[in-house]
Amino acid sequence: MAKKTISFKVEKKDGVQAFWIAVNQHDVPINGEQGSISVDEAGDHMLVWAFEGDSGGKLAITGTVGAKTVVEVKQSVIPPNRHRASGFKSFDLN
Amino acid sequence: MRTVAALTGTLLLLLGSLTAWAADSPPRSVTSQGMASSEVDAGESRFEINAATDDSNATVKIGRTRSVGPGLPGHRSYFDTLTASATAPLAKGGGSTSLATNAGFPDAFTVTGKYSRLTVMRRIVDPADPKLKSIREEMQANALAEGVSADDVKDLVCDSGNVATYAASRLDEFDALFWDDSKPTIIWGGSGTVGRRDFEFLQDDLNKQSQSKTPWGFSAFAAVIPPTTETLLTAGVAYRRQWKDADETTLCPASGTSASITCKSGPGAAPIEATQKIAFAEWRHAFKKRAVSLKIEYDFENKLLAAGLPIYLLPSGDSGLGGGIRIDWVEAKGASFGVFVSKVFSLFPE
Repeated sequence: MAKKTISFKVEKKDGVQAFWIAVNQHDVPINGEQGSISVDEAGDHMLVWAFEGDSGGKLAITGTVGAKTVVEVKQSVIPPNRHRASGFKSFDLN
Repeated sequence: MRTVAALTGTLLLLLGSLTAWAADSPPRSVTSQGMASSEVDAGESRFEINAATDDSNATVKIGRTRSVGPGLPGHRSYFDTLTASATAPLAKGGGSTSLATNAGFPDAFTVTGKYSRLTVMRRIVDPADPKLKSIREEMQANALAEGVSADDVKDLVCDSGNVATYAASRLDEFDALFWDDSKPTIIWGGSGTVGRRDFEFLQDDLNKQSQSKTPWGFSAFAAVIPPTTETLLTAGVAYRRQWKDADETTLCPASGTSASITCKSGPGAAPIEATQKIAFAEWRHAFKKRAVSLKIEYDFENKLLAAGLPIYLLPSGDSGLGGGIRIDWVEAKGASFGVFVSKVFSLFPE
């Protein structure tokens, strides 16, 4: 099956200490702000993220294939009185 | 500006070690279910450079992070942070310190390298888990009921922030899908510092003599955030070898025939070594609208016990608490009280 490489950029601010992202149950190693993973071109995929930091800490994630944005999380926020947050988003490469 | 430029130039010399830490490799390929090994991926090397000043210091910092996901057999995830910073004093003798025994390296130009690793236990989320769909649908339904437009609801990302806003009763259930909440967050790390400080002192002939010293030190810590708490417990050690000015004195020339004489004041001897061997423990807790931090230190070299208790009372911007009152206590000196306005509370070690 044909594969595509998704390049991710993750930006943290306001007290985020650590973060992890995964696609289809496989973690994407992130070095600095960037990492990438190869996935099957067809079908649905799921982006999952988890991060730790102070309440109000924010995370933004952008996944691209070439110049095309295939998945984007503009802002995910750690809720009040918590030190961690997580989320998920389904996407496809079309 | 010149100070910041000089610090930036110093830090550029450290980029080689950070570059080597970020090894290049081709993108990982996912071909089957199950956990993949945690190799470091490729990506453009980038370094974050920050410059900041406070009342007494200018600091330039560069940093590098690495996010490593779970490997078999557990779901332990790591996040590594490596930073290098250079600090220069802006005003000699300035700078407030929270504890008398924790003054760092005042009035010195220093370069510091720090490393820390944060470890958590995550869960691998099953895309087919019916709870994901159930919570997302409830979040969306409640958002619609609260007047959010259908288009905005469609774009509402299903994350802890929006679940907390629109389906708060299910936030714990949602987070439990992503985290093993029975396990703590563990953080450990260390730092090393080397610097330079210039001294001047008076000689018997009233001439000033200059002398440079190389302060240095290192520290290590381990911290834990117990499960389902907003509390950080930290323990650590620090060693600092540094120097301080000798006592001030005033020297006057031997009596002569002049109607007036000019005396000079300043340190009356060569700088004095001031080594510290510190063990510390700290408790930080975030309440709903307040936060508190209690730190106790003991200097084995000088046999000195000290404690500091900042209480964060005031909000800072749209996130965090900054500003409040503090109580500091140093053995044989007693307690002192004060207010602070610029330090934002963080649950995590600095």
